[in-house]
Amino acid sequence: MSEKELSGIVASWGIVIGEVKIYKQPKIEIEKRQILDNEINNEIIRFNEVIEEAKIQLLNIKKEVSEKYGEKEAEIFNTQLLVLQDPVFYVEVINKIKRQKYNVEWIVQDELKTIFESFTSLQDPYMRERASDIYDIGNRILKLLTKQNIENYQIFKNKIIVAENLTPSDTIKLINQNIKGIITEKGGKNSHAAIMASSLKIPAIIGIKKLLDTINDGDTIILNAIHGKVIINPEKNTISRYTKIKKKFDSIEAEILKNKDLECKTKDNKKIIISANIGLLEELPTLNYYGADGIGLLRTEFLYMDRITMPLEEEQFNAYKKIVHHCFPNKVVIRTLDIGGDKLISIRGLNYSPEISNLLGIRGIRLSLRELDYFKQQIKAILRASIYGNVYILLPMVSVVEELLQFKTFIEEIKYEMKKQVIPFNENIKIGVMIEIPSAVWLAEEFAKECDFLSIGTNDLLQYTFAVSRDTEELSYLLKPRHSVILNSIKYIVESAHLHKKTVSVCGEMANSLVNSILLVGLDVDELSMTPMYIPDIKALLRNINYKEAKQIVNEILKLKKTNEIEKYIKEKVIKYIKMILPEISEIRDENVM
Amino acid sequence: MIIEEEVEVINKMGLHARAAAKLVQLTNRFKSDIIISLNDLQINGKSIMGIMLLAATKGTKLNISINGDDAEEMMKSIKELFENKFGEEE
Repeated sequence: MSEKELSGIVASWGIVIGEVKIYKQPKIEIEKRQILDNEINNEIIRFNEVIEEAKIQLLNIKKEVSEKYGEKEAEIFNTQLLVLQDPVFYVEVINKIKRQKYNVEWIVQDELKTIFESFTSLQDPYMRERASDIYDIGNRILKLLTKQNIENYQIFKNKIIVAENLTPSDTIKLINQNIKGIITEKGGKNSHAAIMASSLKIPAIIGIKKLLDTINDGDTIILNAIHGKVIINPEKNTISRYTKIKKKFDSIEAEILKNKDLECKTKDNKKIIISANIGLLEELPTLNYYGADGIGLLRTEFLYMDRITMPLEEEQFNAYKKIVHHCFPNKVVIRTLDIGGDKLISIRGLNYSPEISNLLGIRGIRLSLRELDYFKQQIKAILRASIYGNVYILLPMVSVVEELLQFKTFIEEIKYEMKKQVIPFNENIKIGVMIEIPSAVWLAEEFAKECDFLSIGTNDLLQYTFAVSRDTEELSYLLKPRHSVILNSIKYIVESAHLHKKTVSVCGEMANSLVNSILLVGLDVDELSMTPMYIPDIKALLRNINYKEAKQIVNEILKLKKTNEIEKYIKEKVIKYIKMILPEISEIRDENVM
Repeated sequence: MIIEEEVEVINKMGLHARAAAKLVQLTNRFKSDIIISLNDLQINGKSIMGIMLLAATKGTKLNISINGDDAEEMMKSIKELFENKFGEEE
């Protein structure tokens, strides 16, 4: 067997050599068997027993989910329980057993297929998704009928897991088995599996096309989650080469992690705050693990995803309180709801649809200010949580100062009401705006006068500045954060803010890079907020550079107007500079993503 | 006896999973048979899957036909449930 190589996206750094175990959602094989008249009764009894057993299982799961995650999350099991008791389904199965005289498994599967198809043909997308509830309960019944036990997860112990995709519950069960690594065919960087792998330091590569066609159970592979490569059936010398690389990687990583909690100050004493972007409660442990100075961007959309009713004040308050308390004494910057554009939700009753909330439509603060009843619940929840730590409010998609002023009046009204009701909150809660629209860049000074801090969202700023959406792959060459247009925008924003003694953070993907961190420090940005796993590297680098040198570098780059000139300068000067300061870094990171 | 009436879905979110659940929990408490129709689609009002398949949104008018001894009482309770917007906060 010859060595083969596949590539994908690194979701969690590391190198590991090991044996593959493919994880498949258990598939149920059903036989079709004609039954005799005297078997009919027995098949009906089996059906009744299984329905009862499934009911007990569901009630137990519902109880567990409700205790762990709250009653809202347990609601989906109510629907499933009612499906189990559905008289039409029940009578139909019994009648078919009597009429067609096939085994109960076959009849049930056939009936479920018909129902499943009716659901998937519905126009309403929410109702169409209910097909998955039917599928889930159907699977449960069929598993019980065919006496298939829950998968034995022990077989994944110490293996590298290969899967098409992993659901959160799969990931949790697998991680409990001490797995060595994760490789998936599908899934994005923000998928639950990717996030959990990175928070638990399990090397992971995602998005490998044709993965399952190429890899087999028991294959020995090298998971190179530095360069995003998977090497299947490696030759002996490849293994010995990687064994050395791995040893080096592990020791350098450990060394960098050791210093994660040191204050991030350049050699000439310029302090920079390094905080984390997070968007799931499961990510909280990564803050301590990677040494974040608090949360620079809390995306609140997780509270609104995969549901059809708005999260009410109490539910939001509990989530914020937990996060704020966890981070204390560090700060938590809570961004208000930012749906629209590429972030979609299925909540009903909200004046929102993918059409009107497109990239240039009613999204972010524009939507919130239209839906004040819902917005009030979020703001009230944030205010209530503010007494448990250090909370800031951040408004997304602000384009003109009036929006900020309208918000300030709105929050004052809420505060007044809360005072009357004697509900405690932090009077001096800080309010900031995201600068991610070119109009807001030009209004930076006006915003700085009217609020407490500015945060630059580089992902949207790039899209709106160059008029290119992120999905247009063909135009991705235009979305360059190191273009002088973007660097000059940042420079102007920082100067405007500092004029009014306000701070500026950068919280887009741009901050996830060693090169960019030098440029941003040179541009006098006060805080970088990033994906947690990048924090230790960037802290290690910035602690060892001179602020003055960073300034010189960025001034040189600002003189260049073309992307290829800038990239050339970065390759020849900046990357060299980084390697001089952190010579070991090129051993553990890919130069192309520095 | 058979009674027939038209009811309108007036809650913001329509007959989504939770509302459908409330409706079948109610209909199953009665002995009478119930057929709900929307255009050409006719479903058994005691079946959760049937009700979900109606995919009725706000403003949809449903025809309800009940046959049995407790038909009147059942119709009254169903109308109340629709009028109370399935007890949802709006």
